Amino acid sequence: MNTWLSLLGGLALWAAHFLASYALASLADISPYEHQAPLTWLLAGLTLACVLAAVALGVRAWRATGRPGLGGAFVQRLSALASLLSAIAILWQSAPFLWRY
Amino acid sequence: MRPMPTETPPASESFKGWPPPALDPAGPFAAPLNSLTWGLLAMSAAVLAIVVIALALALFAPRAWRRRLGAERLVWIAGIALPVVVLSALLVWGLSLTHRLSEPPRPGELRIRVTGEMWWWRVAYLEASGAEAFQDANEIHIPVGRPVALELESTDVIHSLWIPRLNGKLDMIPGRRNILRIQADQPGEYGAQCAEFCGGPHALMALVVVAHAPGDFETWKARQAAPAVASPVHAAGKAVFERAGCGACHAIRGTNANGLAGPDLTHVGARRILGAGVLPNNQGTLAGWIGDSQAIKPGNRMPAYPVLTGKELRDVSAYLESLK
Amino acid sequence: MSGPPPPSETGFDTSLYERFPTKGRRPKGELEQLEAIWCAPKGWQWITVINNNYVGVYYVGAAMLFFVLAGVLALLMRTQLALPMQGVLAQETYNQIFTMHGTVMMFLFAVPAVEALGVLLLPQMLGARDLPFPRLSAYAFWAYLIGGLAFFCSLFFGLAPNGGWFMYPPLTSTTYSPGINADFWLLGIGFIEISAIAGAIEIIVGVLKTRAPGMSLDKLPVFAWAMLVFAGMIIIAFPSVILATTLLELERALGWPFFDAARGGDPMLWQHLFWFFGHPEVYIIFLPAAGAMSTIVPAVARTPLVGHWLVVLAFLATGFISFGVWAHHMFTTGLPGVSVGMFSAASMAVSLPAGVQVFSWIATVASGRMTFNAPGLFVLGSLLIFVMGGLTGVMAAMVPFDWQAHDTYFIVAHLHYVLIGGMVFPLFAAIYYWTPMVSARPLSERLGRWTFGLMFVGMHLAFLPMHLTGLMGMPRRVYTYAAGRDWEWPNLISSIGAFVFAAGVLIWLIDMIRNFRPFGASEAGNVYEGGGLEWLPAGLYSTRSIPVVTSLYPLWDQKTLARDVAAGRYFLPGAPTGGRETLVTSPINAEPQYLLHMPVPSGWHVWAAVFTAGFFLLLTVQAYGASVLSGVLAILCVLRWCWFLDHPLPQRTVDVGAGITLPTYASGPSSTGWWAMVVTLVVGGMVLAMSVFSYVFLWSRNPDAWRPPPDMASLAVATVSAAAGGALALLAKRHLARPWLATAMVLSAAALLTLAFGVDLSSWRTTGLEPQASAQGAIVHAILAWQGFFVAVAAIMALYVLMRRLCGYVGPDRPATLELVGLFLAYTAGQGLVGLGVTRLFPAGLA
Repeated sequence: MNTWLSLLGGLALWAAHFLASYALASLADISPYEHQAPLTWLLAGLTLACVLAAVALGVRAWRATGRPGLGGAFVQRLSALASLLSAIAILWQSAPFLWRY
Repeated sequence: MRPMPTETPPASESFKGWPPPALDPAGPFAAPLNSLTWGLLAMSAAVLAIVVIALALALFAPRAWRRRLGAERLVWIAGIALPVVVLSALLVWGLSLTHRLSEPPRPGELRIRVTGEMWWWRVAYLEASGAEAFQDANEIHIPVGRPVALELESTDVIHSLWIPRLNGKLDMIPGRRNILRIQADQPGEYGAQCAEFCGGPHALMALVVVAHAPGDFETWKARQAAPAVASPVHAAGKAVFERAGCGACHAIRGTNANGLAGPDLTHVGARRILGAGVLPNNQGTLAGWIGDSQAIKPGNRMPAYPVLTGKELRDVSAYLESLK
Repeated sequence: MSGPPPPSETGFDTSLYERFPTKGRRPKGELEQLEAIWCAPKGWQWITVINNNYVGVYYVGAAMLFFVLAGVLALLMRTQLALPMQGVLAQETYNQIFTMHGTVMMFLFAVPAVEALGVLLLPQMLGARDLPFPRLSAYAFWAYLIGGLAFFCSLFFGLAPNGGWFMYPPLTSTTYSPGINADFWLLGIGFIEISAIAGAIEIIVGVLKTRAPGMSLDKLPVFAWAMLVFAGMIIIAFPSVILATTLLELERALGWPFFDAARGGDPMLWQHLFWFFGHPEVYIIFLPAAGAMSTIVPAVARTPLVGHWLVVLAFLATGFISFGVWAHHMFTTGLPGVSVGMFSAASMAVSLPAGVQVFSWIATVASGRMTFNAPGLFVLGSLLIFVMGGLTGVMAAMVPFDWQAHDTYFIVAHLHYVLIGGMVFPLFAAIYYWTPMVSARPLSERLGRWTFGLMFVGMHLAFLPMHLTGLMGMPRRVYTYAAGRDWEWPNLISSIGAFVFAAGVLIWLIDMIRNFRPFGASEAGNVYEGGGLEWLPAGLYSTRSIPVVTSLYPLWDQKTLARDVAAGRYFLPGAPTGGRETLVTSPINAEPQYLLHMPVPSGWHVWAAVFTAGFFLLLTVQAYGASVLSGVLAILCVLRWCWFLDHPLPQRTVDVGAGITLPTYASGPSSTGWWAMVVTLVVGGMVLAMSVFSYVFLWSRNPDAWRPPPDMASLAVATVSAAAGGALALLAKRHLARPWLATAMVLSAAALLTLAFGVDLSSWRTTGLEPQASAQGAIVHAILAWQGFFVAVAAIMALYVLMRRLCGYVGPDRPATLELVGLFLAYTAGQGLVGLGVTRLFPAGLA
């Protein structure tokens, strides 16, 4: 189980962030003006949390390539890069929301 | 035999020539789209060149070159690092442009409600209060040099209004109102096309945007708002119109005809095109359209009128052409 | 490979691998027994066959048939469009033809073709004897073939759908599409999606659980990775279109207003649901083809794939990120700017993995020695065409540009470049490359070059001008165009190009007729010298013995492998239980876990496919009685088919080679059946999730029109009842020592679920909420109907368990059936609880 979590964790974070962003954006669309700022801060916080988590997962996986567990160095390298790419994608998709504010 | 158009209708005229309409902006909403398009084409050409050169080297270059190319490093640099940089830049450009072009209409901006119908355009000019001043069809007249807000709606299926020289397209969705802002900087005619498949003769649902110098626009507007004035010369044609029951679907302000199902014909004689961009507007084409519009635009909502004789068709088309 | 052995995943002692290859001769008659067990079909058995060597070829053949049929439709379209205002095709005919061209290509050619490649190649590539559920893939094939042909024939009756392949309402509602044309699409394609899902279940379980021992994840062939992600994406994406087609059919047949703005619905809901499926769909189509590219490029360049791990990463990233881009098909609908920006960002992100693969291929070509044979030419052509298509895709991802390009011929150009470059050319490369594996003769190199040349040139002639035509103002889906717009020349060139492309396909057809000879005594063999296990000498039983894998390119690195495998010196050199078997291994390290006993052919899955197809097609033509009958027969056939399952063998453990023993029965998370059920429940869960999305979406469009839910008492009763049912269902398998108790628990669980459903439904009826009157009515009743369907299936399963008990087939020696039924019932309970929660507590509970 851990192997799969490690492998797909970064991408799962991206998916969770995407879902949350989409929900927040939809909410912002039907909410009055006073709610826009808090929603934007919420998304900013979420983005930061997801990016940090993804980077942390990536770093942890990269370090583990030295002492690989189940799946070997292959899985750890994959996890590391997947987490890095997820972090980039998370940043990109937060830009529209944060930009408009 | 169906009457093939012998002249090119203005809707088609304005699509002709180089550069193509989407790359020939005529106003401040379309100009940035044009720059973006050229920028993207340049980027694409550059990337394609890189790929083609890399592939050619991979296939045919001397051993030493190929050995340097044939490593993971190529994937990292050309497949990850370079695209991240380029795409980030594009994202910033795209977001800022989208933001800039999505500004809502300013208060006091001229508003025109365009409703997509199967397979024509109902155009209603609005007062400042939002009430409808008068209706027209298949042409949108605007003054030059000012942004105009088009309120896009639909009462049947999804349509999309696309005036490539003036802006990108925006859909007309039942139950929603979308606002498309356009501005023409020069007087002229700008062709438009329906760009969302709406069944049947969707292919033949076009429109013309006519931009006037400010003084001319006010003149045009005043004339349009006035009811129809028909001279007694066309009494026979007017009689045909009433006998055939055309008023059930079409309205001519100033007469009894007040149908809403079809286009308003109060000033139909002044229009440049017929049938939503299918034919140029003159007495001959109008007679042909009334006689058998199904042959020209199959499936459209107006039935053919084989019951009308040639003389009746000539009379009624002369009458309608006189409504300028 | 040197270095310390990896930690064990299952406790299996991997030092046992050193016993292989075994020495000495195999016993007499062992090979003959294997051949007899895996014998070739005769007579009617050609239809009931389940061996992937046959079903795979049938499947690819059917897909290529639909490719040619849809291609002919394209030629008709291009003939009509070659000149302006032509009357070659009447307007209505053209509208049906372009709809069918897109629908047949996407649903009946593209997805089945790559799924078929998986069915044909995966078992051999993984070192398995067959797929884990051979009857399931055979069922999927026959349902697809029958349904697909019937669907295509609607053209000959003028009843083909005519609303575009994406079928937007309100155009496709009964008001504007009064005939049964749209129903052909909704019901016809609807059940072909079921076929795709069945195949996906097969592939996920096959790739994760039936590999050759030692084939750990780092040695999993790249094509298998692609198929794994492909299948996972199908599981997540297809439920959305299943829900959408069901909702639209309910609106058409019963008047439930999901998409009707006048009664509170919203046409945009369809677009969200459809494109949430529709965009991943194109990556679903692309990934296996990319996997094939990543397999063929190393073979024709005669060197391992550069950046293999980066390519695997690209698949995984694509699999996820492609789910975040769907609304880029909706940029012109007036979505709010923030959402639009997000989808634009994700659309940029998704192009990164594609770029990784392209440069990996280029680096591989650079590090090897390219051969310009037929597969080689097709992969090179594919690379070029796909890159061009990807670049116009990045252009379209930029929202303001898309505002000009959307729904014009520019997009037609883009989509054909990515699909032809990303899927069709790789598919043809795959056909040339792998034909020698199944056919006595390879295809002709000379004709292959002609095919490539004509297809390559024709493709560019046809689609390159379309970029310009779109910018000139020509929208999509038009049966003709006015003269005098300068659209004449580009359209004429495009039409000529289409015929040049078709000439290439014709030459390929001739080549196939002359050279393709499957099902014979021998195959042409490893003509292109690939390195994968699929090139081992094989019979209908796949390989004589299942090897221990120590490398990513076993045939290149393990020099004596072919000889030793054929001599039976590895796992399973014979059939220790006397039946069809393969090894089940663990997902990460491929350590052997148990011996999978596989079925022999019988007619039940074919009849099930016939009656399934019959149910949907008869429903389309409104022959309701016959349709119900067909549906009941389909269910009976499926039950009879399932009856063969879950019978433990007399031998509890067997020797699978070199004295290593494995159990012959498994249940729980290590068993293939458990995984199949879990994946099926994920499908159900996704339909539920999309229903919840639809509910919230429709509410957000009209919050003031939302009526209060029924009383709390009914909510309490239904909740407790459902929860109790779910708990009973899960606990039943612990009481197998007392079979009647276990059976009673399952029956009670089903009864409780039925009670919960009944309370839920009747309490909603008392509120007076009518499904045709409002969007809320429609979506609440839709969620109820979905739950009702699951409750009905649960009831059937409970009765099935009762039947098994009556025949003495319920006991502690065979927990699998009860376990799987328990999972299903527990899921149904959970789904019911979610439905109750959403419809009654949102937004009422928030207020």
